[in-house]
Amino acid sequence: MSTPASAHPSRRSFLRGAGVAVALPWLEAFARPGTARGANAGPPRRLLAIETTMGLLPQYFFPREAGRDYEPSVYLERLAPFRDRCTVFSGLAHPLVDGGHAADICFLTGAAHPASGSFRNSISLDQIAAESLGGQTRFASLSLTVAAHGTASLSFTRSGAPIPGERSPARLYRNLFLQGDARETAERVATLQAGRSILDFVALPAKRLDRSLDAADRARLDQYFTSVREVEAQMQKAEMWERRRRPKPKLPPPPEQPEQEFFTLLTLMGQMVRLAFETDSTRVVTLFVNPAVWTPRAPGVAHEPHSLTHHGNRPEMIAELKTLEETQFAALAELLAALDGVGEEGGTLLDHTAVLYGSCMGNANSHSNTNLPILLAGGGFRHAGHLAFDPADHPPLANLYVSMLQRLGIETDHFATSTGTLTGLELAS
Amino acid sequence: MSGTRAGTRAGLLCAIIAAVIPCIAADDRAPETASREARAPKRRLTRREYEHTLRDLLDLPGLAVRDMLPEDGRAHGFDRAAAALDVSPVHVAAWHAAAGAALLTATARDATPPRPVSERLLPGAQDFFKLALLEGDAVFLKDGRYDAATLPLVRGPLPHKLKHYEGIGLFPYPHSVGVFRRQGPTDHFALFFTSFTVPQSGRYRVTLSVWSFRWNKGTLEPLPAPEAVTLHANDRLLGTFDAPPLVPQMHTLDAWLNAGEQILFTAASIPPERVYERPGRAAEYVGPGIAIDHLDIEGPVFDSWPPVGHRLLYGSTPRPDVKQVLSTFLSKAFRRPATAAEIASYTALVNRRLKAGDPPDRALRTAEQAALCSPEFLFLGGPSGPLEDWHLAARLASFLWDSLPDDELLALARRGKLREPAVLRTQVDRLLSDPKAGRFVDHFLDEWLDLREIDFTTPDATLYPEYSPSLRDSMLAETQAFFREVLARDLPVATLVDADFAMLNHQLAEHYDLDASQSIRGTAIRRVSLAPGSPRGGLLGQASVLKVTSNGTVTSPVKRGAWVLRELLDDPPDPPPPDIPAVDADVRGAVSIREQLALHAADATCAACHAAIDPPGFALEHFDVIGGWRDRYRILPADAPAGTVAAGELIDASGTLADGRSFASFVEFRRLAAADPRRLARGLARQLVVYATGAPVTAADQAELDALVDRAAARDYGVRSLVHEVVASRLFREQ
Repeated sequence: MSTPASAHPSRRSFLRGAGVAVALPWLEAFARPGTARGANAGPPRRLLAIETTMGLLPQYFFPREAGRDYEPSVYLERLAPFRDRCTVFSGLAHPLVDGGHAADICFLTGAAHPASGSFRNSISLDQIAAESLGGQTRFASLSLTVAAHGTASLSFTRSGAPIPGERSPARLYRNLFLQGDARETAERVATLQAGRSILDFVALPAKRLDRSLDAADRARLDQYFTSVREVEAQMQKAEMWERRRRPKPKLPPPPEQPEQEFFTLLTLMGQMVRLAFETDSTRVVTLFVNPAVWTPRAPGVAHEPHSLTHHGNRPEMIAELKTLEETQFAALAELLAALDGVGEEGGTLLDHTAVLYGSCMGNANSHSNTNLPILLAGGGFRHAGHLAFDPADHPPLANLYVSMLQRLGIETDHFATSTGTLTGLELAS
Repeated sequence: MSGTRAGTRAGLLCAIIAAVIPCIAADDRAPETASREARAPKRRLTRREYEHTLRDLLDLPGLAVRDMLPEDGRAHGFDRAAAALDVSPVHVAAWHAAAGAALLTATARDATPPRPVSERLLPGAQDFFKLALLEGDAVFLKDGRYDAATLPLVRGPLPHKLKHYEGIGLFPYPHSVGVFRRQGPTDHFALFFTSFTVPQSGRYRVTLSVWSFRWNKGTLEPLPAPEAVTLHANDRLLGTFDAPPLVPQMHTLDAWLNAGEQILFTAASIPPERVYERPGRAAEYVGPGIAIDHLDIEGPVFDSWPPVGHRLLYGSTPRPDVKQVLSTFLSKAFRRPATAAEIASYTALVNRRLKAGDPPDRALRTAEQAALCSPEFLFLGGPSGPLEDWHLAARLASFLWDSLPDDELLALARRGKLREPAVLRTQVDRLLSDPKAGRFVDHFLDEWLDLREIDFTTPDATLYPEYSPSLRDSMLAETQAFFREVLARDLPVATLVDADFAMLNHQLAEHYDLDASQSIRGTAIRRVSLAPGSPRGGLLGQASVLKVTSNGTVTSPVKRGAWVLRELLDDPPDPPPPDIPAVDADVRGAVSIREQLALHAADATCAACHAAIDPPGFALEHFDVIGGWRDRYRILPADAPAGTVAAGELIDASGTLADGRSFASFVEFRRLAAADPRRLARGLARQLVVYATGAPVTAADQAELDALVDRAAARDYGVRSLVHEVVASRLFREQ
């Protein structure tokens, strides 16, 4: 009996938080339309950012040689078919991002000192992208999570608040594709309209409150009222999309209660990413992958990954961890192949998607946050093989993010701690 | 000192003036008062507090909306610090959705109460139990022995699927089921009673009959001590119960269940053993098991109909006065009387919704949902200066109940009585004696002692096979019970570090290897006197604290030392310099931690801080990553076959504190730490102030903090006295 419940009626046939008719909030960033350059010219540009939180064994990820002619490392061997459509980076890090595990929430934000008592996160790369690209799709962005529990994601709002990640492939599929009948649509529209009248109402007392407040309180309430108005606008947009038919996906719905196993969920989420891009439901996706706590089903893996990363330099633990991480790369190769298998306007989805893969942990055994394993795949770049930087003197990782934002058609020359675009990585014409 | 007194007198004067001329506190304050920065900014509710608040407001004790809200940030060590409680569109959308869900839950659909159900649920009629039985993870039991007449012992895969066995009448099995495997709410496969879904939210009586046994390849034998089972409603824990050896015990529980929930049975104290993966399965298995005879459910029972929450939302009469209903609701939700203008504007919203075509109940509910999305509900705190009574009541309820004020607090605020010191003191005692004060203990300890991180690491199963999720549950229960005991009895603050008692159950007594472990039976935590010199009295000898300050494989004196200085000794060290990686953990026994940390002493820049940080950590080295006592490290030698655990180097728990005092052992260190109760009291008071007010204790607050600590000196810095003095202090009573 390896999978007793998969063939079985659901033990959780309830919907958590029953009564929520509209699942818009954490799927959407507020789109400010019209800032994307050439938004309507050429194929859509997309962003997919993936972080695996427990780091990667550096000796099996980084190639020894720099440049295009590197000998593939154990893990990169798995991505051999995409060798010319990838750049692998070594030596990069976010300056001032430290604190071991605490850093995983900074992968896309670059905010300093996440373990400190007064840490505040800042906006993540995907939300910047969504502000420009999100207006054109039903969902401005999707934040997805593969983790044993919790809703941690890679995405953070402008005020640094975490955007909860969607963990259920089935619920995601429903939100993306399930049309429902006319009555259900009407009910969703009615809920959105009532919601707008509520938010419209609570936004009103702004002036009344302002009088007696000191500066700190005023700033805090400003944040509140700004957020209220943003959600109101989101609801307006959601209402417009409610009136349009949802697209038909090319894959059947995932199981309502999939087996809660690491690789099962990782694969299902990969399929959902492909479908979301294929139907142009969104152009911005983040995927937070936390293998901790689970013992993933992979041949030769008997321990839970977090324990494995504390391998204490024991060879048999390192061997297990290597197997686990190789399997993650096999899943990544599968996802890249799936994106490459869908054609659109003179290329494939992969040709028009920047896929960032990496971790905010360099060496998990010592919890270091330097020399991060980073990989960029997908079209639109002149891929440079292995771009090796000096771990002691390297450009900020955020420089890569600036290059990516420019590739997405967003006119910016700055993100977080960046000092420019990343030297050595050119955009393809 | 005189400065402090003068400050207090000025504060008192302000309070008196504000009391005499209430309007001063509101809009007509002088501009210079208005522009003065408050010590603590307004803050929004945390997600935890939001859930508690809605539970109390709507009288829905089991309402589960926390997971609908994004996780909160953290500053100055607490999730209640205003600096970390930002608001984003994600929050607003989540509040809107959560309020909508909560209001629907509180709404009674029918004019008459639902007919109570009374059902006996047999484990052998539940799909998950059936699967476990067919796999050999559970066994058919009748009259206290294996029921071989029903099915021979499972030795390997059975030829058919479940449907077949249902078809031939094997199920429903009418007797008992013995379970070999702990499967909890976070596991993929868990023993839900799927035949019963809670039809209607309300109070139910749940009765459970359980017992334990040692399974020996088909024979049932007694275990030396009771095992433990838990019941959950979905993933909400309802209770923990003893399963005594071979003799069934009936447990009765009155619990709030939410519509749609299902009951989950967990054989909590036994290992998550997968018997189906072992050769011979149940036929060859030897190990503990827990038997369940049946689970009875009766309910829901309502004290009144429609329920309290429904009447709050819609009034008590068939055609209620909307203004009256809104006035009552808003005054509760806003923690102060709603103004006429507020009532008028919410009434206007109801009318707009009626015009838009909403039925009356929906229109009313929409206005109430708006109130729960408004800053008046979501934010705590008043203008700078002394808190007026309403805000004082709100802060007090937030501090000790993690929620909003009840009718008694609101009534005292209305009469302007709450700020009277004697009244305030009585109210603190009243709030602390209410079960809702458990929220304070749990929430405060989660944040202060980092107990929320108890699952952050999983101990290496090869090195620590004795660790189990059940032990984890007991660890948390111990520390929570310990703090409750210290608080209830106003024990001296030094007790937190050095106590002659511990709060234990059987499992903890065994984990701690106490001589008395045989006399401490069962899962219930109780107070146990310790032998002189026992390392277990006080927080530093408690497994929960020792676990959250370790990682899964090794202990780090640096991490633990910094934790002790920061959380207990009121001497937080500076953060580590950038780009210094932690010690590369090595469990092969080749390099000792002392050797690795010796570098700290060699380098002058490191030594400056580490001379203070490392010694308290060294003192704790006798405790392993799960709080077990060790005289030697457990290691996995590099030259031995994989999985071989060996004894490593002897522990050296000696050290010299930064102030020059030396200790040879943990117990000596503990004595040194307990010798300065004022410092401990100041540390605890500082943590309480941050938790209660959401703002750090700054240099400007230091004198007031010292003064309140001094006032507790006469009571040996009793922990409850410190809570009283915090509430009585200007730091608490002013914004």
